Amino acid sequence: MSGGPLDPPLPHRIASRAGAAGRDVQLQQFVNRATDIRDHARVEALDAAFGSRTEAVRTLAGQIKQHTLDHLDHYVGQFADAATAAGVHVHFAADGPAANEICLAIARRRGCRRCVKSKSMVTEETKLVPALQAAGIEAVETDLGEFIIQLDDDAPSHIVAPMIHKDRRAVGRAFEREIGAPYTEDPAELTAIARAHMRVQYQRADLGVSGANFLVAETGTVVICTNEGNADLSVSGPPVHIAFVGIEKLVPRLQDLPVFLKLLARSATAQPITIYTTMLTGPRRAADHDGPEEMHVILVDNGRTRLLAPDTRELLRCIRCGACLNTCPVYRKVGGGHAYGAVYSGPIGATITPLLAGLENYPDLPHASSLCGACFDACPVRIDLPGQLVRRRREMVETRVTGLLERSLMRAWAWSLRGPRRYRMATRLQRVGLRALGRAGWIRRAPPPLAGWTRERDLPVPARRSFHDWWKKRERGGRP
Amino acid sequence: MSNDTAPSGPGLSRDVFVARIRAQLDASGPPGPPPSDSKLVRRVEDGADLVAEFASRATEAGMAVETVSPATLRAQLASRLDDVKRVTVSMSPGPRRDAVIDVVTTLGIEIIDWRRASGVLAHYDADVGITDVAAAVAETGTLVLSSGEHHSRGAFMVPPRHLAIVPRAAIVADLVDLLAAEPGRPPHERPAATVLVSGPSKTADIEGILITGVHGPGRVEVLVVV
Repeated sequence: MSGGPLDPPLPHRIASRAGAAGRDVQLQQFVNRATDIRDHARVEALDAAFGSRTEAVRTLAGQIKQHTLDHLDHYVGQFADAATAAGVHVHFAADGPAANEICLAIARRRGCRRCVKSKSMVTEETKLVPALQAAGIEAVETDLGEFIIQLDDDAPSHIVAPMIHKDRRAVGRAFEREIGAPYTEDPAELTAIARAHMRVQYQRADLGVSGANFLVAETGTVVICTNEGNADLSVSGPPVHIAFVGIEKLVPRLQDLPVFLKLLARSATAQPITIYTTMLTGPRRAADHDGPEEMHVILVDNGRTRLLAPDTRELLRCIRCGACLNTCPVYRKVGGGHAYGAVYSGPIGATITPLLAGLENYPDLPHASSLCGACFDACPVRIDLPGQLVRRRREMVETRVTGLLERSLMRAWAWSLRGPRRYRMATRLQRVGLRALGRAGWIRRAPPPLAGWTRERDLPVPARRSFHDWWKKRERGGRP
Repeated sequence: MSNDTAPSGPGLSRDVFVARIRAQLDASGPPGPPPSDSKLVRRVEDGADLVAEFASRATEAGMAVETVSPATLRAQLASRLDDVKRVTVSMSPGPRRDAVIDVVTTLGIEIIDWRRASGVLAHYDADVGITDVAAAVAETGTLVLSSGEHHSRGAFMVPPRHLAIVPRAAIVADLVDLLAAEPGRPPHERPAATVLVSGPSKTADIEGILITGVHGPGRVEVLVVV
């Protein structure tokens, strides 16, 4: 099953999507504005909250996550014990299909027909909604953005703002076409239409599915952060609640949560805290009058233990705030997440996707970065994303995913940089070669590997003489 | 714990799952305490004027906050429930709950008994959900609502308006205080659901334009009793 924006034929070439996005001026402006506003707001919000302490707070958050990952075997066990004590059924899924199958088995046993689902990136990984539908279970995304994307048979393009690539007209058309609402472009009216539609879904549903932002090992608590309140309504009404959660979501104790709650919302949407922070510790108690009768947590691995290797462990600190997407010049330029051809986009996606799905399947992604370092500066848990991207590039060379031509040229280039005489000779050769290609000061069409450059723009021919030569002559007193 | 280790259908057994993780780690065994620095993370000190801090943060978050005295609480409630037909009440038994019921009944407003109805569905007919709080947080203007025998998960999520009554003593300074360790409280003795509410339901999914009242209440009113 492939072909959706997040599930392309492999190997995926970012250029296959970025090219079209690069020519779509409206999309570019849209994504640029949306990400730019969020990026600036994030910096201001963190500065207002923590001022000169911001760095230290982010470092602490990173250290707590790193500590948890360093002892993840312990914390997974502790969580399972505590959650079980609270009445939760804890399941262990090695991969996406297993996670979906666990969910379907529960749904079958309980005779569930209608599922309301809150936003979850893990269920995007496992492709849960199609799996539910194939099993004859109606599944509705309840997050407004995800709902619109579902109606349009589209895919999310941002971790936090899934329909960052769509405008209000697209929403109006989708509502008119799919749920028979009168066409409007007014965001308030569109939201009211979604509210009314969704309330019926909540009341009819017999299965609630959610993700989670954090799992607290000490208490077995599932923590879900939303602004809309859809997770609360999705998991409080139906008799069965199933949470899909990646194992990297663990934190040791309740008292470790504040630093993450304070950073997550500010980094994602510049809020002090999300409107709803929902902490669930088990199904309804004997004395309760509402809440699910059954609560399940499916702990999902799906490639994460591979990332747990020492060199890449820091990537699992990610709390999915989307700050690195918003600040990334490449993410903005390629029109948002779809170009990455995978569930996770932006700098974090560019580095984890090749690890999860194979470098040979995503050979462009480690290069989908200018290594400017903005993502490192933005990350609330201090993941060295540029450093990780460079490592992916090195692995591509080591495993020969990078082609022979590029490897040979780079080897020659490296050789030429090992001494001043070599360097001068190499640049002279380069200058002569490039000047031969040029006409009237510009190279309009170059052979590979420069063809990619000249396909989109002209390359100026280098000066006749190098700065080095010019300077030497000048020092000798000659005319420059 | 022995029955937990059995595989559940398509899943792995817990032992196998944890062993896969352990294989990637350098050391195993119980870890030392995680890094921690509550002073660094704290934003509001305990000695601050918590009522004022809570009121301004909650107002910034889009809630309508009013400070009332025990003597004016009834009048305030009555003025806010003027045009209301049906309410749900989710409060611990006690004089404050009695006062709310008294005001509501005097105004001829119907009280939906959510304890008898089926789950959160009961609240879909209510115009206002009236609740107390388990706690409140000054730092973020947050209301903390926990489920329980007298507390519904639906009362503060389903009706279009949420009216919360917050006694001064319920307000803690910082999230750090709210989530401070509670040793000896085992998981099954915790509320099944504790929700931190920090404003009316919001979305900015359509072109980043902020709209309130998308799934939860569009209006959150808070009466701080001092």
